[in-house]
Amino acid sequence: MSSKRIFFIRAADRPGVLFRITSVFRRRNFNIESVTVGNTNVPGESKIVILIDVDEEGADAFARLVKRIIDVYEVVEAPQESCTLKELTLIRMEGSEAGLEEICKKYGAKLTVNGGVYIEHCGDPQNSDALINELSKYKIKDISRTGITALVKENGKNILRFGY
Amino acid sequence: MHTSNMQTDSYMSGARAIVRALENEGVDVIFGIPGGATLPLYDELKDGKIRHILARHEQSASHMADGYARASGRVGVCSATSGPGATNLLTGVATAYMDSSPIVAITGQVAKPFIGKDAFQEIDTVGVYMPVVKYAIQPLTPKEIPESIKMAFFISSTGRQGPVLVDVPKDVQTGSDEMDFSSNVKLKGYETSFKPDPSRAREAAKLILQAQRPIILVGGGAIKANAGSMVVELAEILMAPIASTLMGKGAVPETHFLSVGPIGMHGTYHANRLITESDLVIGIGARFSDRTTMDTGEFEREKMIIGLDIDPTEAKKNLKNELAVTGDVKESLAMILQFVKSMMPYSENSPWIRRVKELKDQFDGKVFGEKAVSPLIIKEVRGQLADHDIVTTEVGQTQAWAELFYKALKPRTFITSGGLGTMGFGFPAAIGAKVAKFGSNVVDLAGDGSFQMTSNSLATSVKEGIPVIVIIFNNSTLGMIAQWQRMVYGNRIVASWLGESPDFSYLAKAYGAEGVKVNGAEDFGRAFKEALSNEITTVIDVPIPPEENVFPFVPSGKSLREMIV
Ligand SMILES: Cc1ncc(C[n+]2csc(CCOP(=O)(O)OP(=O)(O)O)c2C)c(N)n1
Ligand SMILES: [Mg+2]
Repeated sequence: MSSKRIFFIRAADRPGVLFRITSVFRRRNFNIESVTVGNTNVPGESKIVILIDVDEEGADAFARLVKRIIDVYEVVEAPQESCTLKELTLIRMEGSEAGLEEICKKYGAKLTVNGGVYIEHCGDPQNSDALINELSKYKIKDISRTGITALVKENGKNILRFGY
Repeated sequence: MHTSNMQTDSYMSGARAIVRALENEGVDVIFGIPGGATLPLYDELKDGKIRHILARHEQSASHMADGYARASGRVGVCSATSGPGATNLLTGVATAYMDSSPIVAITGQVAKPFIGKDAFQEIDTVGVYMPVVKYAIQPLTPKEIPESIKMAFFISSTGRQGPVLVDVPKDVQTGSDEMDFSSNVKLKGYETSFKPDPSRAREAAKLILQAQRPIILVGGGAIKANAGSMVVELAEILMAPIASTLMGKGAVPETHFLSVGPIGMHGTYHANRLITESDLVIGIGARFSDRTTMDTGEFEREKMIIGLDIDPTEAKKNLKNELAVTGDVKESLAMILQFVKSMMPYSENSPWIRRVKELKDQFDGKVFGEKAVSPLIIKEVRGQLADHDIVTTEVGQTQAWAELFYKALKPRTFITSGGLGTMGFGFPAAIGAKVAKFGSNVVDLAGDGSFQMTSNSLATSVKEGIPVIVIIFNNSTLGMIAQWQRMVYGNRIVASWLGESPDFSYLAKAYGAEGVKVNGAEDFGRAFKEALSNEITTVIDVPIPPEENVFPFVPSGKSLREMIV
């Protein structure tokens, strides 16, 4: 059964590591839906969060190939339901802010007028989609999304861990 | 700033530091071809202690390093310039990767200011190599060189072994700095020796004791772990047959009374039958590749599998019914042996061992099909070689014949490209093996097609005084391709006929080697004997009927029980 899964990869903060990891996806012909990279509280270490639509067998094969990369310390794999997901969306609108305030309020987004009209939303990616959908009635000038980042829930199920 | 230290011993160029670091690793030989981006390195080799062996194509240089590594167990080193040198070298590196062979490849790179500018002979070597190396390092300052080389050897030779690339920009070779060769390699998250989990070992022992029809399957990992005598001990306690993968040949002497030879696409009839009939497979350093298991569903039907492997990412990779014991294969085996020994001895007259003997008596050494010449040649080779002598193979029918009929008696004496199946591997690998084991005879069992891929290594062999023997099984065809076309593609022969030229004996002589053409098996015996007594590279051209087929043969997608004989 195919479903969305999230991989949490702890790796050395070194050039080439992300390339090697994403090469594994390309090798298996998986389409990455989202990838985010950031430092952690451990110096020299980065955490890569990857969202991908893949069945269990594919996830297993992928996790093995990633774990084999020397600079990768640990691979944790979890179904989307077992994770808390967040995404940051930045939007620049054209024209005035008229009518936008209500929509922003509904989605908990922040509206700033500072030379231009900016909207900032942080939350569930599905809400970001819905927000963007509603804003499409107005004129969106530019939009950037970070892609999702996530954490495994305290009581998350079916968490697989590769590493030591 | 190092202006005040200009005089110290540890102040040197990156190129010199490479040579120094290699010497520190005990490297005695490098196989390679120089070029613009490695000239500083080669200039330093002039004064160093390391022997350089000049290949005629970089692919051969990497195969030579690989052959050296496989024969000796030590890291083999090869070198190439940037761009075309690096791409030529790649095939041999990928070959080493697939068979977990420890080599270090040193490539030159254009100077840093030119990287990314499409400079002359610039390619993104690290990017190209990434998928086929265990690790890739590109030092960006001269000072990083000692640690880079140390790390390359450490990673290549520990854990599951494999090739490591060190790509050195030219200005990093020419630049100088204070060098520190004393640092220790620290690599977070890289575990080199897993202690096997005793509870897993106990579970494995339990499975073993419950089994009625256990069979042992040794792979290349058993050779790397030097686990042969322990495997034999286990087999003799269990009275279980010992099969092997292609890579596992020689882990245990194939003349042992419990040895049944290789399983797989070109396994022996009795080994494939026995593994199908078994109820437990004890895999020892075998990765259960598709060529070994063939159809996996059928392979593990109604049986359990135990998998001893050093690489945790191999655990349950291909098989569902596998109990994986991760760790040093020898240590795992020792634990299992302890548990098994404390329990019960097996009967020497169980129905299973009777079945093993029955099948083995009937099929060991049996040639299926029409009167094939190749098996006779291979048996003759075995007969004349000493236990410690080495054979390498190319790829094709010849490799399959060798797998079936050459009985390897010691580890590291049967050297073949198993995972990648690289034509052209055998001859340069033989040269590398000969360098490592100069006291042993080294013989390449070659197809005429494969030999033509790296035959220019004759120049290296002759000029460097590295005598090996090449036996060409000359069927004037890409035989294995023709066999598939006959058997799987309705006899539609396309692009597999090579024709009768060149005359290999003349080719050999043109390079200053010995070349002989023989008629049949008896004539071959004489020629081979003479070649062995001469200290000169010899090519023996043996005519083989073009329509010869190798059996048993399991077509891809089929199971081991569906052997064609
Ligand atoms: C580099 C490379 N190219 C192509 C192949 C595909 N291939 C496998 S066997 C074979 C024929 C080998 O012919 P030869 O060396 O004459 O051996 P024979 O089968 O005739 O004994 C070919 C082309 C390969 N394995 N390696
Ligand atoms: Mg041929």
